[in-house]
Amino acid sequence: MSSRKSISCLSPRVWLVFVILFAIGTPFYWHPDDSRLVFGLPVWVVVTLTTTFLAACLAAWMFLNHWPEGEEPTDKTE
Amino acid sequence: MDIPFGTGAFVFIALYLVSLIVIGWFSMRSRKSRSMHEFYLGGSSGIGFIALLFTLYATQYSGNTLLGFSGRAYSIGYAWTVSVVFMTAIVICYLLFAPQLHKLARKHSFVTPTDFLKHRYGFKPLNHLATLIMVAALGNYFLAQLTAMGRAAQGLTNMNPEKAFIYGVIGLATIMLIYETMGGFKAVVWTDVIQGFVLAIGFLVLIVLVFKQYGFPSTTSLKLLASEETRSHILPPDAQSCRKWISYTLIFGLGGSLYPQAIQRIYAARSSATLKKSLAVMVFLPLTTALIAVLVGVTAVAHFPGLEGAQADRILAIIMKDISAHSVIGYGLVVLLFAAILGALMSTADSCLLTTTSMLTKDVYQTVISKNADERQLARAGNIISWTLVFLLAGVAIWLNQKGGKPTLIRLLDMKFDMLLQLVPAFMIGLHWKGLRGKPAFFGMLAGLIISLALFNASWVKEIGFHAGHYGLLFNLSISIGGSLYMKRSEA
Repeated sequence: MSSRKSISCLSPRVWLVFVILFAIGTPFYWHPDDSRLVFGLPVWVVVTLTTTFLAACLAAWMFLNHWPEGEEPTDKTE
Repeated sequence: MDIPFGTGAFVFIALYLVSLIVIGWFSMRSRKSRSMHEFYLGGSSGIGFIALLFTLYATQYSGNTLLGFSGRAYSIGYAWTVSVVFMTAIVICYLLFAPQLHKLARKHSFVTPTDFLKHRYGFKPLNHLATLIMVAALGNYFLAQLTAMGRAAQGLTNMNPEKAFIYGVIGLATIMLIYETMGGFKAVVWTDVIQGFVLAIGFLVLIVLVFKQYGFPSTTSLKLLASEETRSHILPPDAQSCRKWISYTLIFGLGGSLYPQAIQRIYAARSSATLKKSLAVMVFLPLTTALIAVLVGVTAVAHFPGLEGAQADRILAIIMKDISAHSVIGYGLVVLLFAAILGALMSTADSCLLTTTSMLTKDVYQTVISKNADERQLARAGNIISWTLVFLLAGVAIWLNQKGGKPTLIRLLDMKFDMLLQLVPAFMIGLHWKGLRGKPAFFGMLAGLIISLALFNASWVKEIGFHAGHYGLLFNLSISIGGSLYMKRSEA
């Protein structure tokens, strides 16, 4: 039996990480004339793609390791 | 428009299309019963990992991804990288409800997306309204696929564009109807596996061809920066566009995860292990698919400037023509790519059609019109509904095309998500909070829908940059939660 503590898919900490990653990925804080390039792509695009990749990694980890197997879902109104 | 395709190419595409009908026939032969669960969800055994992954992929990545996304990137440049973000957000949002919904669906043999609402709330008006929203959203989406089928045919034949559009829409829709009527969900999933595979190869081929023909992003970026007209395609988006960015992420993430056809795939997954593995792979796919569409669109601006509005949606067809004119290998690969586009369009359209038919048959025909209908009558009613729907919407697509005021694919997408967003409280909150009641959920959904539609064209909403659906959702949440709490207190 695994001793690893399961994290809820609704955990505020997990969703806070998603929010932070998406906030960093939103290009609101770049200078409007920033035309620097990395690998031929604008720097701000590379940052967005990196944070999106990290968010995808976190989601995949949650799907594979913290899928709520035992919990009974809400069936009817109380 | 000039013609890039010869007889060999048309034979290849014809064989591909015939193979879909053959799959439909085999699916029909493999059916164990005529029950609705068998026809609309493939039966109680469920679908395995590979089939689920490909059907989710082929359903989610549609004609809009290839044609609409590349067209949008052509229009606004790298700001359309938001498409990679919101397509990822859709899969992330499954964390909010897919595990619980799958469990309930397997336990209670749900067939249509609103079966969950019926089971959870037992409040008929809520079911009818949710069915209406889903059918409207799917109809909208289906129309976009039909329009894209017509545009694909238009862009790749020598025929009169209006005629090409009509033949494209009617021909492809009929093939889709045939295999779907024969094999139901199984035919859709099996064809999705082929279409998903061809689509994945197609994306790969597309980006290789585009880089080979027009150069890598570094060349494109420098070219775009050198011109005052195209420089904005590289620069970070302005404040209003950033607000739109956030809005897209939220509306697509929450609304897109409630695609009715995706909900049915959550129901149909063989086990939670199958579902979680498929979603864990799906979450990375925007980085290989939506991103490719963005790179193609941005590259195209540097080489084919000047297209605007609905014309921009044709950029992929223009690129394909250009590439096929330059080499025999390029021509062969473009034929493969065209097959991928057809696959993307048809796999999304067939899923939309099957889900819509299942809802109209089970949630409307069986519930309202013929309560005592047996499985045979329901199957017949389902077939009649499918054929009627397709020809009705094909007529609308052709009419819209001839009318001249052609809405772009992205515009159609927008309306769909504003509506789907209103399903969030009933599905996502309802799965976790026992206190949510059917009546307030219904009035919340209704208010949200009315506000979203009323604000859809409001200029101040556009200026701010947040989709109208968000304002609707705020009212929807307030009424659903506030009303439920009030009812609880009144009863105490």
